[in-house]
Amino acid sequence: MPESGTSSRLGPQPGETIDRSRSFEFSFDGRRFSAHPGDTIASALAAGGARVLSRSFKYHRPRGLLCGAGHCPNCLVQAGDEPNVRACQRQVEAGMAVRSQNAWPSLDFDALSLTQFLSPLMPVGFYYKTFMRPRALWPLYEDFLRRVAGLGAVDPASRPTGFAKQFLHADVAVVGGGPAGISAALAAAGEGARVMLFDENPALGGHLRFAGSGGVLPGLLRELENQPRIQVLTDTAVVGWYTDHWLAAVQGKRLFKIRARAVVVATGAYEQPLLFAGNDLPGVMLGGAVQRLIRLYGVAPGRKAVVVAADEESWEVVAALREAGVEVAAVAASHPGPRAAALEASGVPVLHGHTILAALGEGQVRGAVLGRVDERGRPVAEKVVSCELIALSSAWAPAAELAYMAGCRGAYDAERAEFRLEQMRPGLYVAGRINGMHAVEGQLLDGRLAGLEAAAHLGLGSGPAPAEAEALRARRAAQPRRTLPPVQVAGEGKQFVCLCEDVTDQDVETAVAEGYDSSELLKRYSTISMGPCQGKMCSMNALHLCARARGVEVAKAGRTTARPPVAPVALGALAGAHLEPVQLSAAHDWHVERGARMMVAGLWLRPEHYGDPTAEVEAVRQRVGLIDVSTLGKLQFTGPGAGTLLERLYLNQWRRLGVGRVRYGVMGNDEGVVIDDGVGARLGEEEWYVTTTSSGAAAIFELIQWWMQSGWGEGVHLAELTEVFAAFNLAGPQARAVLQKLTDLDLGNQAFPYMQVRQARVADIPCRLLRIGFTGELSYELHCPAGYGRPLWEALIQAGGEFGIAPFGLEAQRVLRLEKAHIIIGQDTDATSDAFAAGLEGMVKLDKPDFLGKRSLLRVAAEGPKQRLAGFEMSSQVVPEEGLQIVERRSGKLEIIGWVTSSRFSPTLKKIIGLCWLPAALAGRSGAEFSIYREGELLAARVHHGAFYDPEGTRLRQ
Amino acid sequence: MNAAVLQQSPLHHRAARSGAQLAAAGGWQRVRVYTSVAQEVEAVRRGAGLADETANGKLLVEGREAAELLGVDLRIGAGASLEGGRVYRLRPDLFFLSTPPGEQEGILETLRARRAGRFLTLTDLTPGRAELRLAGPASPQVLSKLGGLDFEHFPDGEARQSSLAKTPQLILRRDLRGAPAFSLITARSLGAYLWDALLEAGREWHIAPIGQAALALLEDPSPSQGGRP
Repeated sequence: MPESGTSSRLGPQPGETIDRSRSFEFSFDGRRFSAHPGDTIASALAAGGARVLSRSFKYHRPRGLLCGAGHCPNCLVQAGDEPNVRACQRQVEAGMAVRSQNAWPSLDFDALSLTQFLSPLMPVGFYYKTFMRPRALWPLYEDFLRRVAGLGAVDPASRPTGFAKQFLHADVAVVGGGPAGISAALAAAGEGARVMLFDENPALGGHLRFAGSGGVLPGLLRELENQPRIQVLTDTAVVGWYTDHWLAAVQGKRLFKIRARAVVVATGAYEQPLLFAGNDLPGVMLGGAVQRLIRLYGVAPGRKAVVVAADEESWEVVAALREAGVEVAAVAASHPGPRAAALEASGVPVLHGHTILAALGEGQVRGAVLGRVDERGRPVAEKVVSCELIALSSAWAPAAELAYMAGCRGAYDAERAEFRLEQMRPGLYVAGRINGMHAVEGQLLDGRLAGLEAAAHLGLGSGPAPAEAEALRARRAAQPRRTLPPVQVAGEGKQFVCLCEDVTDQDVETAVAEGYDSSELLKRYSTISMGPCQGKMCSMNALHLCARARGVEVAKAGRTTARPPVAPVALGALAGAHLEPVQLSAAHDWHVERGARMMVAGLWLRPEHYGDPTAEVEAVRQRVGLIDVSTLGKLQFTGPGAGTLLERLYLNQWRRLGVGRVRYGVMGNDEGVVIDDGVGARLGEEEWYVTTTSSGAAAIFELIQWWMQSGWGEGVHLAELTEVFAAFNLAGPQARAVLQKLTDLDLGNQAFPYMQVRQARVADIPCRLLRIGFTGELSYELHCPAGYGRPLWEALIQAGGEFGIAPFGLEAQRVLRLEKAHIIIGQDTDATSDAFAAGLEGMVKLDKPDFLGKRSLLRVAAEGPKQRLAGFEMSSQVVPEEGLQIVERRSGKLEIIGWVTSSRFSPTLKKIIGLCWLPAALAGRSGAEFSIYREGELLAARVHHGAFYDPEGTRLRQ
Repeated sequence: MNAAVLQQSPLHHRAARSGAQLAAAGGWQRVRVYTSVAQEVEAVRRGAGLADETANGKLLVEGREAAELLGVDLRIGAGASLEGGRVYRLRPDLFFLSTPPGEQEGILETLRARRAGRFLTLTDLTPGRAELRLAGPASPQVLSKLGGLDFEHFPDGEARQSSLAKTPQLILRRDLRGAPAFSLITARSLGAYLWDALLEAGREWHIAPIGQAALALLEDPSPSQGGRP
């Protein structure tokens, strides 16, 4: 192998993409290589003489550049922290650290390549046959297999950024920017359609960029530039077709989602490798790779070549090699073309009727065995030619995945040895080589007609003229026949059908013999077409082998299903940019500035505490505290039917509530299960302002809307005001004194008693004041337009300064409410907790005409609940965690009889208190003892009825 | 309107901390300039700018007779000038009114007076919704990274309700003179999140926050567009 430095770089080529005026270095497995801007990793490595790029998946055989088009697995490398980079597609960058994959300890000496000598012991289905038993050993197997059978390695420490998604809209999406695609785009845009033209390569042109027929390209590109209705996206692979012409495409780190009204698929065809012994040796290359290396990057793919020629285009490959000064030692021509004679005359040895039978060499190509195939399909070797490059230019498979995803059928055309697409979906068109057109003139015409048809489908233009359609039919009929089948050689050496998974012709025959004889079964059993190439390089050959092994025609062997993605997609591109909605209250910045520890509550961030939750509890009990409750759901019901609707939605009475009064409300579902609670304030005869729980706000609003649209909405309008109002609860014995500093409203106990609502200015801000008391202290909940939220919060904190006000968070609130034995719906209740069991029987008004849950609650009322929510207190030192089980010893065994839903140490009462579910009889006995099971120990607890703190509720009424 | 205390947008404190120049309008504090008027105008002309227009008035009119009350005949999504603002039909029985800052209260009074016996709900959503204005030639592309509407062909003067950056939004197209512009109206609590998401999505087009001064220079004053002074 030549060392880097002995360059294979040719002189300047017309149409090359590299900038020879500049060069830089990069490394491959620690060796330094030189590159020009515009080089791919693979072209720069080829210029530097590196021929082995990777080791194969199963046998760790050396592999080199094969397709040069981003389709095969051979050039997958690790670039920096990015695995599975296609070296033939990725532009190399200065200083890039490229490493080979799947080789240990090194690419040149890979210890695991010894597995190929074990290959007789590793038949097809080897994994299924070997690693299934004994099951207990699977973790060991898995560990080993993951190590040896992986592709690239993911670096868990790397934090790639820059992934994004973007939606695009087009009248016509044209996939593939070769002659057919460009022609289709121009035709559709000419009729007035907005066109997007996608190509996975860095530049448009398809094979015109590097094949001899490229003369028409500059003219086409000029036309594109002058057509403002066409948007070109290069380096963009369309990877999936979905219903209604919705396409997914990937451009580096960006995923495009494209809504198109019509699609032209002009994706061309995949050049196919042939089957012969040693067909995976580095130095065996497809014609397209040879042409790309020479014409795009100015790199000689070898010094001495054998070309396997099967059609007109094969002679383009020969011409490219000769122009590059590569010695063409022989052309094995299975199909004579008009250019063969000219080449022969200029001294190239053309072996008519020959094909390749074997590649010779260890680690890389040293020669080729050429010969004939006799009438019975058996090979007859005739000539051994020394060479270091074998260029295969012989067969094509249409790149039809997108068309197949769209529901097209592929019919096998035996005469031309390729699939023809049928049953086009409305609005979907195929054009160019995918459609069997192999010459430029035909591709241009086919594309133009597809573009016109796509435009006509959208009502633009009248479609192709009859004369053009006739001309296309004539061209199609004149397409040459293809005679070269995949060649099988009886004899030594592996012939690889699938390069991704190292599946040989023998493996396919064995699998078919074992009964896996449909293409879908063969795929799953042999893993053919399941590797990185996803069948691009192997499906056709596998199909031929399968058909031959079964003794049926290729058309009958059946094709596997095409699924997205057509080309590899980074998981990061599927994930896209980091978008995680977060809701912040109007006073959020204040909380953060004061060092609040924020916690996630739904989409909201809320203060859990400001440093010391116990001190916050004490402040509320002894002085005054302020909590941000802006997250509460807030609903306004207006209209003559509002009272009736509320009576139906809630368990309790509403209509008799006087204007200016507030009531606690509980909502049940059809089963009588408690689903939400809050307070409702009657602002006017027909105007009610109701809060819901923070976590239930969205769901309850939707539920109410549902009922309103189902017949309960007569005479009532509902406004969702959760975001309109900020809400703060000022609580504690000094709350009145603090508030009175800021408002003219008479806050005296007679003028503004407990459970009433007022509207007034506080700190010159319009507020709704609700005198309620979740904490058990005198408290005012102030609701103000959210734009005033922070000014109001700051005014209250400032006014409370002289009274020792403290902001308090959710943790303090949980303790405060628990001291009052107030439940939190969803924490102390679950999806089976009816209102009676939850101790809310006082709320249930069974004499109301009808309301949600009435039928179920009538039954519960008659039978009585089995479990009940109860308070408990303990003298233990350990706070039992919420969720712990309550147990009872029955005939020697511990049985679960309940569980803890809330528990805290009460700094006010200096003991542990909580709420729990108990059997109804036990719950009914105040002072009854029971046991909480905690880490193998039983903790003693006693039932407690009513509030733990201020059971008469005098403090909040004072 | 109260003169002493001003309402604040969800982005107010960030802007104030970063040294932006503030100015009052219609009872709200707004940002006049973030960096310099020239730089902000240039950002919009070249790529994209993002303004905080939370102060704009936002009213909902709901009811079967809403169209009659408003005196407009609009298909869903269409908009028309009304009382110095602009009205958009969101549903057969739901209309959204956008007004200059502070003017929603007068309009609300007018509509209440005109309501007579009709059963209608009038809601002032102003403090409950953040309103961000994305302006500049790149704005359709910036939005295409966050939502699936065809923003290039979103008719000027119309409204759509859609998801953007995984959150529900009311989107109005309100072009500036020579540059596409969109107003994004969302829950106030999501304002800061949406602001950050737009700045991140617009980074490749060199998006910049822009204040009212730059916006006023760029704004189309034509009354047919329901434009602002």
